Amino acid sequence: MYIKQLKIWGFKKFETFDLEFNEHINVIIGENEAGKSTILEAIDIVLNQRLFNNTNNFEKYFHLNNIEAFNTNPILDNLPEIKIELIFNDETENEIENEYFNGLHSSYESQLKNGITFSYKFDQNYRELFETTQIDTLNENFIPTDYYIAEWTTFSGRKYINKKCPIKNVLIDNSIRKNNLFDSYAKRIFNANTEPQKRQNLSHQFKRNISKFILENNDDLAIKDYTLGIDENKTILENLVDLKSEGISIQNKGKGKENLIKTEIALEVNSDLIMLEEPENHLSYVNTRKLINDIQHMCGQAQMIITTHNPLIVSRLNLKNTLWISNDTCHSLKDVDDETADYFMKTDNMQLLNFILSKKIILVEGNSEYILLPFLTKNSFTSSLDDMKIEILSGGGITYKHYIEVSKIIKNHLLVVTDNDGNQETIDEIQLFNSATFGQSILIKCANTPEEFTFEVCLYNKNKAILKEISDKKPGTHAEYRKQPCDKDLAYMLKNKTESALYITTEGSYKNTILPDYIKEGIEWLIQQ
Amino acid sequence: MANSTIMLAAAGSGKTYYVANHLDPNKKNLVITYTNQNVANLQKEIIKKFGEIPINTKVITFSSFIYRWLLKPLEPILKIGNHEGFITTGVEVKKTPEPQTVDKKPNPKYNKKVELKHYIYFGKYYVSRMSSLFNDQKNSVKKIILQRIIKFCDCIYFDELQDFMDADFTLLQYFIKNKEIEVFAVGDFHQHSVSKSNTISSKPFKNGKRYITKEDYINLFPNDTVIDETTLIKSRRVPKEICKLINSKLKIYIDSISEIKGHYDLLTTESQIKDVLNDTSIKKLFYRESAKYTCLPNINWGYSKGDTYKKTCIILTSTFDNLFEDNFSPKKLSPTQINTLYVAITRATHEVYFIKDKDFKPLKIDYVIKN
Repeated sequence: MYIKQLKIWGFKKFETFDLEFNEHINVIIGENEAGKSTILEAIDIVLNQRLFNNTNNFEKYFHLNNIEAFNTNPILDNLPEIKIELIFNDETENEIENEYFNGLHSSYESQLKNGITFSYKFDQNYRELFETTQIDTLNENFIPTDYYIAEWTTFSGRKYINKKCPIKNVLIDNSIRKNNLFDSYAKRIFNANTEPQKRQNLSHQFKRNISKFILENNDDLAIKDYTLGIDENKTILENLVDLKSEGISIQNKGKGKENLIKTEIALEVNSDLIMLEEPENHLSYVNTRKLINDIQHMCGQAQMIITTHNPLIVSRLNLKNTLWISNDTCHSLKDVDDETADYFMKTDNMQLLNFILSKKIILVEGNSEYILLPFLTKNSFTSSLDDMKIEILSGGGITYKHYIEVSKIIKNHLLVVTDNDGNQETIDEIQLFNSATFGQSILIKCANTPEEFTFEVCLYNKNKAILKEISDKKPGTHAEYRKQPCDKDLAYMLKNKTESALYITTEGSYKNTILPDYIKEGIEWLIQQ
Repeated sequence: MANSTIMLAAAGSGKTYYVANHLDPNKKNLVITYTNQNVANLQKEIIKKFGEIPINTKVITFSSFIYRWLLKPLEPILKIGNHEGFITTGVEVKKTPEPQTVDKKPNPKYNKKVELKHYIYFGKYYVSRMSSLFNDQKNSVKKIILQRIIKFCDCIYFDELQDFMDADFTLLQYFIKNKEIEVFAVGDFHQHSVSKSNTISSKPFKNGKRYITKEDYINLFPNDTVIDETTLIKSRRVPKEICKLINSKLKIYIDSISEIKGHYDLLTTESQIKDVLNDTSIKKLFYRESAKYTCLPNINWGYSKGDTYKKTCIILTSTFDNLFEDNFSPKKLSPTQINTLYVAITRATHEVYFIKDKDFKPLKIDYVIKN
């Protein structure tokens, strides 16, 4: 069995949330605080019954809107609740045991589904008590979590206990946030990797040896009228285990190595589900690639759910496996076409993640546009690209067509700034594309005449008065470009694209340089989106 | 598409053994029986055969079958009268619901079928009314329930077929009629109306005032049901001589493949009777109220159903005092009476002793527990 879907109501960041998983690899991306780790946490709570099985105060897990609703009108029916549904696949593997998970007790109502529901809410058994005596407490805007009940129920309406967990799983948390939970990780690996009988035996042997030790050292452990014993609560084997590699605790091997080893072990353990939280943390580029390679080759039939900030992981594990979390919604990139996914997989594109996460993007062809556009925009408009929340990316040699494919799926607003290369056909093609996609979220802009074949030409033509004498930067510049005569200043810019771009942004005399018209129009369009 | 099979077996013919050996471990099997004791017996037999319970085989009681497979998972769409969306927390086994009539008079406390309280007691289903709750659901709902079963189960075994009465029987018929699931039901027709709880016999075995015959019973199932009356007709438990007694006296056909010689005896003298009653290796079978008697071990006839003993002693009721006389005829007796004695006689593997009621009466005082 694998996890097909996750639904959340009122848990942490998510007021309502719905996510469909892929059968094998899932790469979850999103801005910080988008709720990526909340997703893994939610799965952990439902499947492994972690967290809500003690009497701690769980107030911090409620969604703020629900707390607000209660504070505005503090009555029992407005008390915040948490509900998490985990839906399993149901097309195959209908073993008789799995009947335990199948039924109508889910948000699907009249559809039979396999799954488990977790809920944390006011225990209705206390309703009468509150309605008769304790109403005052409610008025203090205090959430009476002592009277809350955490329940796990399968969709067949029966109580769920994690002993019957249908999916053997392991969660590896490499995020900086929770790195101290190391011992619990070793414990998880111990529990997941050792048969229950063997575990029992090991634990039994351990205790026997401790009592043997006490017996043998009875005299030395005596202090006057007392004897020193061993605290049984502190000598539970599974709490003491530590993972070692070549005799050294992996805790002492440096964070990067530690992460790599942890992930490798998780992949070796025979699990149905492997959850990796930010596996790239503390890893160098080379080790990240090694890790990705491990994931690709070792996960077998297991389902993997990975949260990441690393563009390599996103592109290498196939863009189609990406689940992008934004505005409490999940967008799957599974509809990206194969060719594009393949393209990004092979090119180690470092900007892909930025591209997906940004809402408004200008994609430019070369370095000079990339350097100059923020500067020129500020001059042409009153505010900067940053102020307008527009991201600028350099295509870095990748044809923009692949970006457009991705953009169609994730539906961000994309302005492509390109050269016509002196080719009327290119101009026509681009115009055709724009009229066909008119009103949609993608616009391609190039200069309208073949004479303005590249960015520098347009820039120069637009700012002739300001840029005159720029060729003085490099005396001896010939007034020709590609064996054609041309203005000396333009010739300098064309022959030294990056250098001249940097020069324009730093030299005071050029501070009023403005955008060529086709780019200005493009940005105007982007602003309106 | 699978036809259902009904297998009519004789007492002690090894029904449990047969079920355990008949089931295909590669299929998904649900084995259903009435009591926890029988669940344990079946599990033991299955483990004997396969070394463990096969991964896709489950043995459960009839009441957990109804609760876990028929009602609970579909609760959100079940209906009681106009009530919908009730959520229960389990099965109530101790409390019995208010009956429709008491002493043939209407019971004012009775809750009609359209009321939640007919089926539910403080959030739990009355165990005795779960079958009828299923039967009363709309066909479309029953279909969904069935679809769910088919998803997880290829074959259902019903043990103790003859114990399915009233609503339970209607439910069984529904499953046997269905072609999408293979049903295999096994039982001993002649043990019907012999219940451990001594309930009065009823549908389908009694039609109005008349008891139905085995043929009538078979006709209650669809024509294409496979009826097997031969495979399990030979008793492994009951010795030949005792089978003969049953054939000639009770007119119930039973054959023996037991290799034990076995014999029966009618005890007549006081010393014979006392010796046997005092012998703790002999199980004493009283018609009822066995707990009243000091001669141990003992049990009621009806309660002995499914048990096997080496030697038994049956204390007859006055109805059967003439059992060994030539003029005895079962024709005037009800199947309840005959079947209950049949159960009692078929318990022993070696020896059966009989004591007439009139011979026991004078000694009774010595064997009754004094307060």
